[in-house]
Parts: sequence; C-alpha cells; structure tokens
Amino acid sequence: MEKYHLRDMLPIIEEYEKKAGSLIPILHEVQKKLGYLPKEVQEFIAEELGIPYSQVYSVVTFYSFFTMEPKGDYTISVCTGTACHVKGADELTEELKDRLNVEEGGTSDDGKFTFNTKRCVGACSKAPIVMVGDDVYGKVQTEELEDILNRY
Amino acid sequence: MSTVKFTVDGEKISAEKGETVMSACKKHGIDIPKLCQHDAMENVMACRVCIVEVNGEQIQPACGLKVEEDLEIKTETDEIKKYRRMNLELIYRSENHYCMFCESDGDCELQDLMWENGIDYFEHPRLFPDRPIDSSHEHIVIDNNRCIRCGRCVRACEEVVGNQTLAFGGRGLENEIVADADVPLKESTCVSCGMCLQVCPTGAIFNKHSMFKGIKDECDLTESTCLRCSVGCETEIYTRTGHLVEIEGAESEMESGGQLCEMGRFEPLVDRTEKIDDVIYKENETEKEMSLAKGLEKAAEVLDEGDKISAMASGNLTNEVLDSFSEAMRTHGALFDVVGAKRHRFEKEVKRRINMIEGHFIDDITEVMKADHILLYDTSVRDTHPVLASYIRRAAMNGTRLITIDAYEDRFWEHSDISISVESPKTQLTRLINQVVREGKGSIEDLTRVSSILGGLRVHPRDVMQVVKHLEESTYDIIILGSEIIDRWSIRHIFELAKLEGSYLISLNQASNQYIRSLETEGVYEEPDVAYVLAGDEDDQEDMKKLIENADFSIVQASKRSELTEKADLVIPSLTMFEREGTSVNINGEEKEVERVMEPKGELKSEREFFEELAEKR
Amino acid sequence: MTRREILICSGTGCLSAGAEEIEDKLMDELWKHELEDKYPVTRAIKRTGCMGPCNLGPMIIIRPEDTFYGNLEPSDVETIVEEHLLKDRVVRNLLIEDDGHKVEEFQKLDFIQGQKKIVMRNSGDIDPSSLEDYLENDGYMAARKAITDMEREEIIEEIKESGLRGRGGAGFPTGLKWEFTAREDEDEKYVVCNGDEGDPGAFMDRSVLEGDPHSIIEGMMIAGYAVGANKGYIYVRAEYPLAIRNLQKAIRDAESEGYLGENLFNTQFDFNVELRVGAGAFVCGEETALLSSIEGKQGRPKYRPPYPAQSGLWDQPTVINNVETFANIPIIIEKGSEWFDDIGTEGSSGTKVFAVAGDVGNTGLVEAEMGTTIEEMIDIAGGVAGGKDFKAVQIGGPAGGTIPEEHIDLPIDYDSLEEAGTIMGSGGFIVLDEDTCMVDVAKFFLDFTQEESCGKCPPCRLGTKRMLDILDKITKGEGESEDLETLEELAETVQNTSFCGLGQASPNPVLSTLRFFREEYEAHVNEKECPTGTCKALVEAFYIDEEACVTCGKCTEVCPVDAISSGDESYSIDPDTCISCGECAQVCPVEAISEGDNE
Repeated sequence: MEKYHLRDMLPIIEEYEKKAGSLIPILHEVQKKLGYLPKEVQEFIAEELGIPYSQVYSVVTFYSFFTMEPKGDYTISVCTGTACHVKGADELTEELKDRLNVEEGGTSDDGKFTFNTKRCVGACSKAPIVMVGDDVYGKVQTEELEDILNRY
Repeated sequence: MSTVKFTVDGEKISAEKGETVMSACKKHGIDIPKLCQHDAMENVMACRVCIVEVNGEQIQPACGLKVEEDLEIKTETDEIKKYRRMNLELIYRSENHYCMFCESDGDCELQDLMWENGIDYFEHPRLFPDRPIDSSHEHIVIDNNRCIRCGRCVRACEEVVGNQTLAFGGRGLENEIVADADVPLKESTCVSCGMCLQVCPTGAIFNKHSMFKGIKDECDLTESTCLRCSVGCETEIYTRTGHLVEIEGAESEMESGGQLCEMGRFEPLVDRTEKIDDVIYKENETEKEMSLAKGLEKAAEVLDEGDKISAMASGNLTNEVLDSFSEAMRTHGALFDVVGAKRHRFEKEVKRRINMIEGHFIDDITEVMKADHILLYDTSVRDTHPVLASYIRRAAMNGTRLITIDAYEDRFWEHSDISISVESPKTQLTRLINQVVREGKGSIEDLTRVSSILGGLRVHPRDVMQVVKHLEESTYDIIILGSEIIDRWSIRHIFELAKLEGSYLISLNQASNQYIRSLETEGVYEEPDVAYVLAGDEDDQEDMKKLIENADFSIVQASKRSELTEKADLVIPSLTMFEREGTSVNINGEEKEVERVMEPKGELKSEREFFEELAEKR
Repeated sequence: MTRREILICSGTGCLSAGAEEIEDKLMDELWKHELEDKYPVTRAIKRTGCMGPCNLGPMIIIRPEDTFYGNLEPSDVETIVEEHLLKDRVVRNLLIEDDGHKVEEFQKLDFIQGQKKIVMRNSGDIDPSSLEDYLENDGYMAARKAITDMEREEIIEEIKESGLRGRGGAGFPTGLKWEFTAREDEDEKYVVCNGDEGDPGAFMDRSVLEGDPHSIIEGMMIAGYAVGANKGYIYVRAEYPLAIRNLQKAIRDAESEGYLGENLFNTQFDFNVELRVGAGAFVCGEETALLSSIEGKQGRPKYRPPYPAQSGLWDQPTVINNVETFANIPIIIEKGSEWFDDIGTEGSSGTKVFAVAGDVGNTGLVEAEMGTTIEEMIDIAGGVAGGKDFKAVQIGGPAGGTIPEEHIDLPIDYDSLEEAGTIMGSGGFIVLDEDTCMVDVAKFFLDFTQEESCGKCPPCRLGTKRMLDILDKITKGEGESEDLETLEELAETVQNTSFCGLGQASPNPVLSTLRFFREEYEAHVNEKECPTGTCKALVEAFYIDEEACVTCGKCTEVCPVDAISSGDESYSIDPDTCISCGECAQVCPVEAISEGDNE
C-alpha cells in the first residue's frame, strides 16, 4: 500500500467544492486515488469543506461503494443478481473465498485481490458473472476460476 | 391563522391549519403513542408507532399528517393496534431491552409503551446485538445495544445544540449512533451539554452520575432557574432524600429546547469539594472553629475597626441576597462591588458619552437565530454562555453569516465565515472598522499607517473590508460582545459601530444575575484594610482573589472550600446554589424564580437574615 | 461492391461476451483485405448501444441488408468479411435460427418482430458516443420544436394528453407531475433523472443511458423548459461505468455544440445538465432519498408531502422522472400526444421496456406495447427454455410480485398488474420454470430488500429481517405450523406501516407467492419437503439399491463431491457428503440409484 499525503486530496476537493452537494463526488475521486477512505482522510475532507465530521462518516458508511478498508490491486466480485443466483453464483462465491482465503470484503494475503459480491451488473444473459476490475467474465464455471485468477 | 375541524375517534376537534394531527390531538388531551417525535425538534416520522387510520383507508403517522377539514382519524382500530404492537415487538426483540438490567428501568418511554400494549414477553426470538459501549465520556454513556434508532439524539445535537457531533453511521441493521467519524465520545467535538441523554426515550444514552440512584417518579422534583450564566435556563432538578440525582432542562421552555450546558447539567453532580459548615477564624496560623453567631460578631468587629472597606459579591446570587449584602456593607461604610459590574459601569459611561439609546440592546437572545449577520467579538461565549453559543451555531447552520474576532483561537471555527485573530490591544481593529464604515472604503488604502497597524495585528486588510462589506449588506445584524472584553476603548468602538450601522447588541458580562445593572456599585479599593467577599459557590474568581491578596484582613463567605477560603482570615459559611431561594434577572431582563432545592444543612438558614443582623451590629 | 455499414452491439452484455474482440478482429480483416477506404473505421463500423437480444451476443448487423449475425466467435469474422463483404453472399451457417429456420434480417427475428420500439428507437441503431449520429436521426428536433414553437402550458398539456405515466414504478401521470412543478412560483427549479436502477435483473435504464444518452438530455431539457427549470441532474448507479462514460461524453458534446448551455436555439432559455454517480444504495431509487443523495447526504427517504414537485432538491421545486420516462418525451413532442395515446391500452399508453431473464429462450430487452399479455411476452422471448413447463413470472423486481400460470393471459399494464398483486416496477420480467422453488424466490428478493433497507423505520429495518429469518427456517426444514401466519402478519405490518415505497413493497414477493403457491410453503413446513428439490437442506440424500447395483463405477466418475465409495457387492453413498445433485442417478445404467432414505 502506498503512503498518501493529506494535501494530495486538495486538488480533488478544490475541483468540486464550489458545486453544491460535492461530498459524494469528492469521496468517489478520493477513493479512486487511494482505494479506500481512511478516517483521517474523512476528517480532512470535512475540515476542508467546513462540514461536520459526522456527515462525512455517515455518508461513507451508508453507501456500499465506499470502503474504509484498504483494497487489493484488483477487486474480484461475483454478481448475486437473480439470474446469477439461479445459475450458481453461490458456488462461485464459496470457491473464491476458499481460494483467496478471505471473507467477503476481505483482501488476500498477497494484497492482490479484494473479494466481494455485487448487485446485478445487468449482464444476466451471461450468468453467472465474475468481474475483475472492469473485466467481465460470463458463464463462469467454478473450475475456470483458477484460470481467471492467474491472468492477474 | 385559519382553523379547521376534523374528527378523532368520533370526537370533533378544531385545530390550526398546518398543524399536525399529533399536535392537535395533544392540545385536546388525546395522547397518541410515539417514540421518535419530540416537540423541540423536526418530526421525522421514523418510528411508525404513532400510526393512525385516515378516512378509513390510509395509514399515516400522526406526527407527519397535517390536519385538514373533515379528516376522519381513528387512533385505536384493531388494525392500528395490531400493527403498532407488531412494530413494538420487533423493536423489543431486536435490541437489548432486558428492562431489569437497564439504568432507565422506570424512566423509559419504550417500556411504558410495552406495558400499555401488553408486551411483557418475547414473541419473537431475540437478536442479541453485540455492539461496543462507549463510556469514554466523563458524563455520558452511549449503549447502541439499547438504541431504537429514533434519531432524537442526532436531531437534538444538530437542531437544538447546533453541534452535529452525533449522526447515524451505517445502513439498515448496521445503523448506529456515532460521534464524529466514529471516535470515542470523549475525543469528539461533543460539547458535553447532555441534550442527547435528556431526549433519549430508552436507556441507550444515560448520565453516569445519576446511574442507579433511582427512577424519576420516586424523586422530588423542583423547577428552578440555572444561575451559572445570564442565559438563566429553566431547570428540573431531581433529588432524593436531600441528595441530587439528576438535573434536566425544562422542556416547556421551547426556545432552548430544554437545553442545559455542562455547567448546569453535570458540574453540580460531580462537585465533590468539601462544604463549609462552620465559621473558621485563623489566628497565628491556626484555625479556630466557632459558631455562626460568634462569626457574625467577629465580622462586625473587624468591619467596625476597618477604615477602607471593600465588599465584593458573586454575580451568581439572588436579588435578595445582593440587596441585603449591599445594605449591610453600606451600613459599615464599605465600597460595594459585584463581579461583572465593572463591565456594566464602563458600558454605562460609554452609552452616556456617545448618547446611545437602549433600543440597540436585544431583549431576547433567541433573536440571534433571526439575524442575517452576527459579529461575535470574543468567542469565549462558547464556554461562558454555552446555550447562547448554541443559538449562534444554529443561526450559522441556517445561513446566517458569522464573523468572529478573538485574541485567541476562534471557538466557532467550524461555523464562522470570517475569522479574525488579533493580539491585544484589539481596539485598533475596531477603530479601523469604524473608520472604514464612517469614511468609506478609500480610507483604508490611503492610510499607510493603517497597514502598519494591521501588519502589527497580523490582520489582512481584505478581512477588514469583508467585515465592513458584510455589515453594510445586512438588514438585521447582531453584535455580540463577550464577557472577556473589559477595556473601555473596545466597548466604545463596538458601541459606536452598532450606532453607525444600526446594529443590535448583546453585551455579556461575568454575572449570571443581571440585577447588577440596577444596583449601585462603586468598584474596589486598591489596598483595603478589610475585604468582605461574598463568594457563594465561586471558587477561583480572579477579582476576588486579587482583592483578598491586597487586603490586610479578609472575610470570605462561601459554601465550599477553595483557594479563596484558604487565603481568608475569617471564613463564614454561605448557602449553596441549591439551598438558596429568591429571584434573579436574566440577560433578557426577565425576573426568574430561583427555588430552594434542598434544605440548608448547616447552621445558616438565610443569608438575608444574616446580613440584616450584620447591619444592625454597626 | 456495395458500400455497407457494420453495427456492433457494444452494450454491457455484449462486451462481457467479447464484442471488443470481434471488433478488433473485424478491423484486422478489413485491413488485411485493404478495405480501409471502403470501410473507414469512423464511418462504416459503428459501436451501438444494446440491440436487445442479449443472449445472442456478440452480434453485428450489416446494412443496408440488415443481415444479423449473432453468437459470433472471432474466427467467424474472417468468413463474414470474405463472403459477405467481398462476395455479397450471406453466410448462412452463421445466421440465427428461429423455430428451425434461419433468419437473415434483424427485423425478421421473432424476438424483434413482436416488439414496438419507441424508447429503444435509437439504441442499437446509432453510435451513442456520436452527437452527429443522434442529430442525423432527428435528434434535438423535438427540443427545438418545444422551445422555439411551443408555449410551456402547451407542452405540459401535450404530455398530459399523451397519457404518459412514470416508468419508474408507481405510474404517476408525468404531465401532472410537471404541472405541479410549473405552478410553483420559484426562480430555482430542477429537473432530475432517476437512473438509479437497482432491481436485480433489470437493466432497461442502463441500456437506454448507454445506447441513447442524448435522448435523455433532450427529454430533460424539454421538461426544464416546460416547468421553468434551468438545471438538470442525472443520477446514475456507480455500477454502470459504460453508461457514465457515454453520458459524460454526451453532456460534453451537447455543451460544446450549443445543445446545452445558454440561449438554446437562440431563445432566452438556458439549460445545463450535471451527472451524479450513486454510491451503492438501492434505496436511492426512492425519489426523496435520491435527492438527499445528490445533496451529499445519506440516502434516507423523506416524508411526503411536501412532494418534490413543490419542495425537492435543496427545497426547490423539482421534477424527478425515470430514464425511460424521459426517453419517451422527445418522440411525444415530435409525433404528438394522439399518436402516443393510440399505442397501448386505455389507462396505460405507449410501450414498456422489460428486461426479460430467467428460464426463457432469449434473454434480453423487450420493448412491448402496453397490454401485451404475459404469454405474448414469453413468446417474443422464445418461450420457456429447455422445453420445460412455465410456472410463473416475477414482474417488478423486489417490489413486485409473482404471477402464476393461470394468469398467463394477463395484459401487462399498470392497472391489471396491480390487480394481480404486483406492480409494473421498473420492468424486471423473470420467467420461472417448473423447477423453481417459490419459497426460494421469495427469500431471494427479501434478502435483497432487507440488506438494502436504509434503517430509518422499524418495520422495514427489523420486520424484513424477521421475515427473512422465518423464510430461512422454512427452507432449512425447521418451519413450524404457526410460521406462515406470523409471516403474513409481519408482511402486512411492513406493507402498511413502512416509511417509504421500498419498505412498503418489500413483502410483495412473499405475499404474492403465498397467495398463489401456498401449498409449496405448506410442503416445506408440514412435510419438510421442497417440491422442486431446490432447498438443499430438504432434499434427501441419494442411495444405491445394493441388489440392483452392477458395480460399473460410472456413478463415482460423475459425483462432484466424491460421496460414493466402492464395495465388492455394491457401491454406496455417504449421505452426509451427498449434495443430492442427482448426477449419479442420471448415469446409472440399471436405475439402481434413487432419492430418499435407504431404510
């Protein structure tokens, strides 16, 4: 994990702060940069925007997209939408947990993969879906997972 | 205001248009059960306990539904009762509501509702939440395991206190009360006012010092006025067998929303200093105890012998005590002064010199919430008048521009739009602002002298111009002068500014009883023969300390041991604030009743009688 | 050689199926055959939005013939270029088959023929990243007409007359909504597009945003002009990166070409659009929660009234409509309310786009006229897959309900669906075949809403949790006789007392399955049996009849969990390891393996 400096967040905050309701866009950008939203960064954003600490924290914890845990290099996720559920997403989930030795939301020991499940990604015809970063894999069989993981 | 008529459970009632069904019903003595609704705050319709049937079809929360002509409301249909009961059962099973192991057992709105609805067993299997308990704070415990997520504390913290420390973290079942970015309450921006625990309907937030001292119903309740500052909040004081149990803000007084501050709510509960019950006379380094009568005689004797006598009283006493004390002291030829009166005397002089009318002074401090600009000169108000500080924060949150000037840190940094920090003397800054207001914007750039002054003050000319601009823009601005300002020039400049700009003023001083404004006070001798200090509950007041140090002989009348009594030659007991009764004048100029909460424990029963006797001993 | 245009579907579905690889290969082939002049990449190869039949991806359409090739492999591209492009010969073996015959033209596909495209008129047809392409297809003509030729009241009247109802779920008349906002006397008003499409299995809005972003901007602009708003926000889920990208480009292009900004069409009217990306909270699909989210707060719903039309974003009057609703606006303005009102049924005009998924032949987007029956919809989608029997269709996602076979002739419109105990919702349409366990379906949806509850009110936060606990118990075979009654009581309380639509609708999947499939619940509770064999805990282990077993060993080869051990006389299955998948029974040549207890 790279160390960050709080001042590196300033350009992002400055870009958005003039707009009304800028908090969520700022959090998106900062998370894109750091991979997660540590408490001290949340407090820094609050101070810069002149809003209560509690507002930033409550927003970060309300939305499932925001995370306070550092993330691996890649996020691997299994879609749990209806079609994927029917087509065996649960088995993929179990298999991935086993292989990476993580619980949902956790990061593998080598810091490479963070595993989670996702709401429907809208590619139901290709169910079940596994996503690594922005790459989408359709009709995934459990035995194909090893091959997918090895590509990264 | 137009009225509408509607029906509740077959009864026709009338209400004001725009009112909620709940509030209209309450006025007619119909209590609709509720958990999240609280009169001091905005309604959020979250708990779904106040549901009522509307026109035989819909179900709506009574706290959200507005009255309308011919509305047909039913509060107790079988369906409503069934749903209400189910929601209560769900709450009951989902958090820790084992009443017999709860501090709020007997003082719990949820428990009352459970009993009313016959819920005395667990219909559904229990969830057993296991969340950490935050007991880091000196006074307040937050136990999320007992929290029903009604959000009263969150709203109180934001809407009443203007602080926004508490919030909901997480979503859904993960929802919980957090302070700031989920830090221990002790380390948070909490101002320790205790509003959260006062409004909590369950045992999720409670007072450490009142824990397990009994339920409110079994306590004696006294309604009184807090004399810790001149805001003079109305209090409800619970005692049991002569001991303090809990202090709450009176929720009937809606401007403050039932607020108190740490000084008013918690400090009396944690005050463990030794009380003074007997007269102590110090002679040749030894302490001698004597009876009250003997002490009175001794005091009279000393006063008789003295030539230059200075008397000083605390500003937190009642009118009656101040009157009788000043009377007694004058009989003995003393100069009489009250803490805070000096500032008042300066003001009076300034007002006379600049010919200022009383109309500039606000007679209701809640007006700050209506101002469009607030200029706060000296931000110590956050510590000296915390409830007024909450009004300032609330105003700022609702769009009022806040300008602060302070020698030290800006204690409103989260809320101020312009924050100017100046080292003493601050007079030059106010003079400058006045000058710009009077002579126009050009004057500041023309004067090279000005920039050297500003340079010395480390103030940017832009900030001065901004302040002037804001004041000129405003249609209703209030200047608040903190109690730490005691130099005449600052007072003069600020008053002049108010006159020039047509601003309103709130002027604070150290006394909680503003009766000092009608009292004749004269200041003090620099080096008196005798100093008579009526300290009451004061323990480290600077002016009193100085007076005692400079006097040949000092008499201190106080309720508890302190630095003041240590230095005194003669110590006489006084009543505590809870033993005293009488009247007091608050910052708005209103006379408030101060009730006796506890019977005096010592020999002294009435300070007034004591001073009348002292006067006679001339 | 004919000058042709090749359309490649680049919707999310096709991209996940490898559309990019097909495109790369296509460009390689064109280069190889020195066709770059005839097929310049910028003109002749067009990446379009979703074409609809998602399970046929990756897919291309060659114009002007309209030839459709689907399920392409990179190796097919070479043949297509050599045969079709160079020799003008359709590659027959790459054509898609409908009912046993090869279909050449895209428009002749059964899947397409049954549809009526209004909302999806441009998706799959134009390049969504090209403003030029949109303009060529009459883009921004409706906005020009509205803003330069029509009075504000006239526009609102036109929308009211058209009978257009909100496509986000509740079906509130759009024109009326606009009228409420127009009536408010405020300088600051807003137009908000709700693109927080979160129903599992639904992706209509995503496809429109991806495939035809300018139509949304145009619809919002017309709304803005009609109600007196100069600022619009589009709120899109963070899970839709392609939609976000295409929208960003569309907004930028519109701004630089003067279709957004000041003095539009040389009038006094200004309009700007800002894109806001959600952050993963289903409840933000609820309009008041969405507005809170734009304001930078938690997406907790607010009490109505006041409605957003009077006091919405930053307490200003706000028109908030769903993506599909806005997509309908330009064409209504263009062709008139009468034209639109003629489509569909009495109370529901126009079309509705459904995301058809589940056990059907063709999954994908189907835009059908209101009033189309469930049966017709399933036919369009190629019928129930694998020759299985139809059991039910789940319409409306987690807020909707399940409709059983006996109502297969139900016309799909707002009112009929409501009568049948479900809602239009945003347009999820999941076909369930005979092997589907309805308790499991109900549990799946409830699990979703329970996790997405914002937590504001007890019925939704705690009631759905309690219901889920009961369903969990039932599917594990631990159900008790009073559970169904408790479940119903809970469902009623949650439905009637929850704060917002999310909570109120959350029991629908349970209530509708209880209504139509109660015996299935009863089987789980009373007989401890899952009739479809879905609930694993209720399926008994398989056993081998020792006398019949011929010890061929075929069963051990297929057992995925190695539960079968060999013996001299017979093989045996360890019941604790067996997951009851039934694979062994299928391969056993002597039918010695069956489900149930040996004793």
